Amino acid sequence: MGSYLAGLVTALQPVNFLVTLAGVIGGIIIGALPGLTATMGVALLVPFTFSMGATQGLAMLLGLYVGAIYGGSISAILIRTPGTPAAAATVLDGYPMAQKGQAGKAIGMSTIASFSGGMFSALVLTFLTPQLSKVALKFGPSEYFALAVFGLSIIISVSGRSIVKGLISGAIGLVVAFVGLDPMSGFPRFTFGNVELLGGISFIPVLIGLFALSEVFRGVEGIATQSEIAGKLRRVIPEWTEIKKVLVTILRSSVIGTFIGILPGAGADIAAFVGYSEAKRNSKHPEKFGTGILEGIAAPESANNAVTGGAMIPMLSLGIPGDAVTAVMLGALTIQGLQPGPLLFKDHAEIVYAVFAGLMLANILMITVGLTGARLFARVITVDKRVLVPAIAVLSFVGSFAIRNSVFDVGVALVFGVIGYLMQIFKYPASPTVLALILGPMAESSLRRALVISHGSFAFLINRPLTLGLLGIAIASLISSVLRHRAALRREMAA
Amino acid sequence: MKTADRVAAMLFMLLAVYVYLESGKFPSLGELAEGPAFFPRLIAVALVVLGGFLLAGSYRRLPGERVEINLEDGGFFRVAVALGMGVAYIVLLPRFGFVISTMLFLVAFMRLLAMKSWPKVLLASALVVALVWGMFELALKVPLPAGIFM
Repeated sequence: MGSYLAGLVTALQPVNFLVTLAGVIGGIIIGALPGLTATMGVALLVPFTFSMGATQGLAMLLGLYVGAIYGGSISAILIRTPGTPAAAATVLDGYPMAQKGQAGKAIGMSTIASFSGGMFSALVLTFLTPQLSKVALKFGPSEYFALAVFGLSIIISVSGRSIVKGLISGAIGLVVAFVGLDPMSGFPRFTFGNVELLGGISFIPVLIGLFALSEVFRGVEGIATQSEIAGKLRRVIPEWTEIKKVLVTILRSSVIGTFIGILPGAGADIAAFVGYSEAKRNSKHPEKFGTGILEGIAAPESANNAVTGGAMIPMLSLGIPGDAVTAVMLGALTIQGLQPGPLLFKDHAEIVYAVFAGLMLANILMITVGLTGARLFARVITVDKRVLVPAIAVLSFVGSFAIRNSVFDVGVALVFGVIGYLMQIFKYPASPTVLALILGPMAESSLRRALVISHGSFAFLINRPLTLGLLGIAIASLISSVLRHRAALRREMAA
Repeated sequence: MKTADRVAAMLFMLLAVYVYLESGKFPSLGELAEGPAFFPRLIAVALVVLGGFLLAGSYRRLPGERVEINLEDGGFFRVAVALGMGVAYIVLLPRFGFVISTMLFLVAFMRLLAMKSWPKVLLASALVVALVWGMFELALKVPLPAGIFM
């Protein structure tokens, strides 16, 4: 409790409070703008946070994460275009409400639901992380190898339509991660004799390329037209009786979202759809979903924001990112010289507790800013794309440069921008690449370390119960997702 | 999508073969520990298998997945031009510094996106340059490339 209070004090320091607020406002704007996602926002922001301390930088990233996941609902409701993939399910009932002239109430409900989901997950994060890291402290290299494989397998099972493409995307990430000095022997691998590549391909420029520059190319390809906003914002805060009716929905979605957040690889977009379909399935009037009802907004919005806290749990306690955004944060922590995982808790407890309190603060700021500034944010959507797209390009270049003062890294970002663009066109999900970039080196070095300990024998894969169990779950999840995909394809063929 | 999948499968397999052959040059760490070549080879084999699956899948009749690309109104051409501008920016940045290279890049990019009014283009570009420069140089004290002019 004492450390939690210390974290709270840290989070409430004026500087930290202000950077969190800036993060939340920036996040809502980024989320509200179609084409700019939470992952992209966090990737672009990381270079800005380098010169700040670790706690301040994290506070800003947390604010942005929370704000962006919520902000996506604003454009989903007003212009029928989800601002982020996480808000795709919100379109279903949000836009019909706007057409009925209830845009304000829809945004208000989304704000309240996002806050509730976010707060719930922040509480779970606070209570679960210390327990989990206590268990994780006992992990040896073989468990870490199994954990990384488990993470990789789940990423694949949730990555879009084609499992093969998800796997290939992951394999590409692994190959990219090989570049540089071998972590065990120090031998340079795939560096083509280039000195810049000895330290490996740096992570943040790769992310900026995959998530920001690829969107720039998308924006250049089809010059976006200005979108019409449906209806004016009148009353923003819903009636208490209306809120009371959706409380169960919000609670259910918060649990779903937090759980999906904890699973490595599955993120806010999936949580939103699961939350929506579960609300519909449990409803007494499922036929009303899609016609513009508050439950249809509360369900996906509380689920997607509940992912934020959930996704931080494996990142902070095990060093495994829960989704693409936390993968970027993990990269940011590493560059700050902090290694996420159970040791972070032992050696830098103050930072972990500041994250707990910071996430709650970010949610409180989000509901305050969201309810008071809804009209302003609604206007942001009409920003001219012809200025926005070039500006993102410049931020991508400058951000990639700023990390190591290296023009070479700008080139890395550009190359991965093209790769990300091609991946989008040919339907390869980008998240597996990013998660493989983080989990790959972890899988490799822990497996090889385990092999050194066991004198080259692979027996530990079946002798250690925890390792075996984790690998078993990994294989089971892979098989089940292959079967699920097959069934879905067959249904589509029949239809 | 079928042709694209087949070409992609070939490329992935080629990459895998390269990774496998290249790892042959890595040193061995003796019998008791796996060397630097162990993991790359594992992934190379996996990539060949995956490429095979992709290739096989392209011969099966599956519900049509469409490639979404805008070939009308010169969309792809604009992407190529934008990429060229990115390369030019990287070449210019160390020589002319952040302010001048970025200004040139932004003006060219906005014109590419069919922003017709010159005053608007110049004003918007100058604003973005000033904002980014201010944020990095003044607020965050991160030096940007100065080049020969500033």
